[in-house]
Amino acid sequence: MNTISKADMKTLFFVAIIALLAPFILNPFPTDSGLAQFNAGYPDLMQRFAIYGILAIGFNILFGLTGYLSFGHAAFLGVGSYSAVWMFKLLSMNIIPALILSVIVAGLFSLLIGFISLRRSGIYFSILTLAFAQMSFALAYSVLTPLTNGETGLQITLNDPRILAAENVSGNLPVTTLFGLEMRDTWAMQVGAWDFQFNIGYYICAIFLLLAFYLSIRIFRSPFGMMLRAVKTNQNRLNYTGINTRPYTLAAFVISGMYAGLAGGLMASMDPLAGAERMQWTASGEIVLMTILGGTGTLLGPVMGAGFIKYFENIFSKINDTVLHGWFSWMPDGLENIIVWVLHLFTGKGWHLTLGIMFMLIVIFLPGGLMEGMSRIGNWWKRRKGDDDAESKSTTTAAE
Amino acid sequence: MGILEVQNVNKSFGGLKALHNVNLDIEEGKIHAIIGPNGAGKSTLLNCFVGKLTPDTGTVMFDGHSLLGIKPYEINQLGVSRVFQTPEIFSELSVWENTLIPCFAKRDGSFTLNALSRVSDNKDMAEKAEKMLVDVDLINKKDMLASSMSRGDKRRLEMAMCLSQNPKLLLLDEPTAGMARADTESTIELLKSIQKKLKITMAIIEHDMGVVFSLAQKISVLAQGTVIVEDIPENIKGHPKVKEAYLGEAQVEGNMRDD
Amino acid sequence: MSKFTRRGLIKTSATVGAGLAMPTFITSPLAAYTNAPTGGSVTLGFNVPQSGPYADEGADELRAYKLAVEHLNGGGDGGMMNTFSSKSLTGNGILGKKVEYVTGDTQTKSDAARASAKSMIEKDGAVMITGGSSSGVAIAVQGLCQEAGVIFMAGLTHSNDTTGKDKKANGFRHFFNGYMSGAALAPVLEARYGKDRNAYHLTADYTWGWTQQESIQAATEAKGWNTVNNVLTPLATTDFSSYVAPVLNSGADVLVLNHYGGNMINSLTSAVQFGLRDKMVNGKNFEIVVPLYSRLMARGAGENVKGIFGSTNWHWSLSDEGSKAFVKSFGTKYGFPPSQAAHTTYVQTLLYADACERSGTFNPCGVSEALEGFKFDGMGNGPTEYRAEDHQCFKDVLVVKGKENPTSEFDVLEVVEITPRSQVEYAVDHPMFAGGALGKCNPGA
Ligand SMILES: Nc1ncnc2c1ncn2[C@@H]1O[C@H](COP(=O)(O)OP(=O)(O)O)[C@@H](O)[C@H]1O
Ligand SMILES: [Mg+2]
Repeated sequence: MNTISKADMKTLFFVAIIALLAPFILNPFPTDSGLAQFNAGYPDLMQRFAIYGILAIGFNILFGLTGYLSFGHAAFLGVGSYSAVWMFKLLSMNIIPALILSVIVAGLFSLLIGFISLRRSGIYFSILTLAFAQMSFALAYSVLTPLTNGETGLQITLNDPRILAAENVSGNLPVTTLFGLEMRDTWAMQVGAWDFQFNIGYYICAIFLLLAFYLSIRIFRSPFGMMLRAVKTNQNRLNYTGINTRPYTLAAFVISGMYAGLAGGLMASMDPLAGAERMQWTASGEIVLMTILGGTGTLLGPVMGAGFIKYFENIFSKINDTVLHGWFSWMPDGLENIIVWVLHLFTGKGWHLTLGIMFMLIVIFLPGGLMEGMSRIGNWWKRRKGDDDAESKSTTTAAE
Repeated sequence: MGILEVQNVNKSFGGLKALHNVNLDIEEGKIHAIIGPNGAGKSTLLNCFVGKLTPDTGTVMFDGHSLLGIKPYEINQLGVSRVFQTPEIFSELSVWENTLIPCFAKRDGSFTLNALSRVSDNKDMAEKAEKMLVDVDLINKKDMLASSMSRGDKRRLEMAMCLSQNPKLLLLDEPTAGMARADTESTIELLKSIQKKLKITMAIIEHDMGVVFSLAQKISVLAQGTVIVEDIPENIKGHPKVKEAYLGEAQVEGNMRDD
Repeated sequence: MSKFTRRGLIKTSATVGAGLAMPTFITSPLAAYTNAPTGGSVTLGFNVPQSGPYADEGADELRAYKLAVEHLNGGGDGGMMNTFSSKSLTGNGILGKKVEYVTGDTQTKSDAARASAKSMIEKDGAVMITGGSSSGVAIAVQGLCQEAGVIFMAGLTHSNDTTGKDKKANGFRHFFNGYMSGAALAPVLEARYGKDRNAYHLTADYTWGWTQQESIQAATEAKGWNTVNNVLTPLATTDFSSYVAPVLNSGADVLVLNHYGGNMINSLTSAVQFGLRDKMVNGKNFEIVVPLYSRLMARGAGENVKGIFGSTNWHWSLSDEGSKAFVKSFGTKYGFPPSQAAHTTYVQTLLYADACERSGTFNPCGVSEALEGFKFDGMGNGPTEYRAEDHQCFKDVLVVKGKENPTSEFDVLEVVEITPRSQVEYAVDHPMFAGGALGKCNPGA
């Protein structure tokens, strides 16, 4: 069991605990309070946290380690989703075959795109991946409509063959399962004014997140990971040291593509629909933001970045004027209107603005992302504690 | 027959003829120095050995293989390592990792998907790297970030990286430039002892004549892209052609630093 | 508020939270259906495009929803509740519960729309989802609601598929569809432009565009027209000049724009700029047709819409009691007349509330039963029926024309003909609607 070091084991354990307790941690406010708006502990969002976490972890293996900035990772996410939905349509609603196909197809697809794009580096590589992703999006959106159902998105229907599934007698659309466990099953628990939801789908995603995180730790600490970091700092030296960098970068590209495929497959497993916009360049850009925001090249950063962005997207975008008026209704009318007008810019549709400002602040003041922020707080805390210790020591000596 | 045979190599940059019919024969187990004034084409010649440049004409044979038309990593895997004039190291990695990478490259070849073992589990690699760092006296700095070291330390690190691969041929481009006197002395000692112990063939470009004469068993003098003299050190000192080549610079007997 | 329980729900047991220092806790009651309201209020989810090409429609839908909520809770002048043939709504909320709502942005993207609907269901406890201005989104969200076990009252969606191959037991559409547009328009076009016409179609590349194009082509070809070409344009297109340019040399003398919202405004403007409307082709005046019209679009396209034919679900200039009541209360609140998007969403909200009242429950299966085969009047479209077999409303269709002499910026369309229901009706198994199954109503938990 010494596949990972003690310190890494601690980090993994920390992530596991957070993931396990997420339904509590993310729902700190009583359901009926005005602050309930900020609760994020509902299945859909928790699933997204985990899924985008996986995506960002995978992206970080490429970008964080090798420095190759791909602007096309959403394409692999989309391909994973389409593969999974096709498995639900053709085979059965079990998520395992769907996830396996997602990862394989995304792997093959990224092998192809990586093989071509990695002939260039730097900005040219980024542009190539962007071009490929936009091409995939355009194809999915119209040309490949028989495979992707175009703009409507690929969905399951009652008439799908599903050759491995028992005949559907309920007349309802079947739901995704893991050997009978339904992804949508949710166990609600009320504790006083609080309401906590434990969703099977979320915990499945969380397990995959932990596996993905564990694998990423192994890769970071491996000779392979070390070579990837060497690629980032000096590819020339690596060449003169006898290393063929191309297969290394290609392997990293494919691995991160497979991570994206897994994320896409999971997304479809939680909600069996695959839409082309999942592959758009804005979606690819979002992955880059997540990684940079959290801390490029750090283990935990990308997961935090993913959570941060998804939280903003889903919570701030929901704060509309009615909600704002509700909060400030105790103020005199004129003042209330002014405050609502100002906040209106930053909430609801304006969530992009809030996120943009946060992103700017973080990149300027914490170039290492949220992880740098955490370690600064950590250091400050340690220093403070150190002072305290020193003080208490001196007092005890005095007493003796 | 030398381990490295260079015949009729020509290389031009636009109108500038950097190398002109260069012939060179480096014998196995020897330290061969290449000297010459600045801009003579010494670095360009080494570039032709490691795949950084391809000569316009001529042949470069190493240990029975042509070095032309193959990739730098393939040349290294054949057993050629190079220390550059400006240190090429992994500046954002630690000294320890800098030393480990060549060890892994030597053991695992040009590509291995070794993604699940821990670096620290490869005890043989760690031993090798540690020994190498002790030899170049950097073991106390092994956790330092390579970029934060002094220029001299960087050079020694690069040398350690190359030596840890046990190359058949080690190419050194001005290894002592920018080093303090004491460091230069210890570098000479290191190279001497390596040569004695491991019998590694070396080609060394050097300006410091003290270093050249205390190390080299053979010296080629390059001027304006041509080898004007090739002989043992004793015969180089005071050679008229060499004096002529360095005219206007320092004396060959002296310390011919030109930077 | 949110008690999200589902089929296969495991009851909370006291042991789970025992170790946690929490106040008393109640086990969650095993509800009969998803998000059964327990307190004094019921939450509806209004999922409309607040950004993207249909944002104008979305904004108007939201206005209508707010108005509907106000009326249901007894505020305002009651609007169409007073003219509605069913009298079960009394202004006392729904089933005595005060109506509350949450809103979301579909961005006119299936993914975003589903995520937004999901959070309304899972987080906010919405018992019904409604809205949207794109068929792609309507179909995606309808599928979600079917799975989640809540009712979906479609907003503006005109694709045949919504109540055709993608119909769902939990989904209901009041709006008309592509087939109906074709059936209503073709006779009018024949009468005005003759039998011998060559049509060139530009079509928005998604389910709505495809099915509307198919419907118009079939209906006009039945009248003797010929279809020269059909070119698909991506939804995100803003510059249509490269699509319009080839039309002139194609031999076509009619251009059919299967576009909606911002798309239609841009493609029509482009066609007019190319001078298409002033051309003579095959000895005939070149004509443009916009099968699905809305006032918002017509206003956006300005001068360009004058004399152009199309069809619409409803128009504020109608003079029946229902329309007048709706226009009055909408106008009083917002200062301008409502669009057809506003109308259909307002009606859908009232229809839902009424069905709850009549069935005495929010249970989707009860609501569904009350809506199936429901005949009503007084909602602005004349006698209307929710057909049980496919959850599509059948009613008269309006053929409209861009007004030559508009009196205000809202007065841009004039009703040319009211095509009777019998002429636009079709069999449930009509080939353009075949291939799907309604399935059974799903109450969720
Ligand atoms: N890549 C290059 N492009 C153009 N000129 C070059 C290049 N590399 C070297 N040179 C020129 O070739 C000549 C030899 O340079 P170099 O081999 O670096 O000399 P040195 O003997 O000092 O190492 C110089 O005049 C230099 O300017
Ligand atoms: Mg040089």
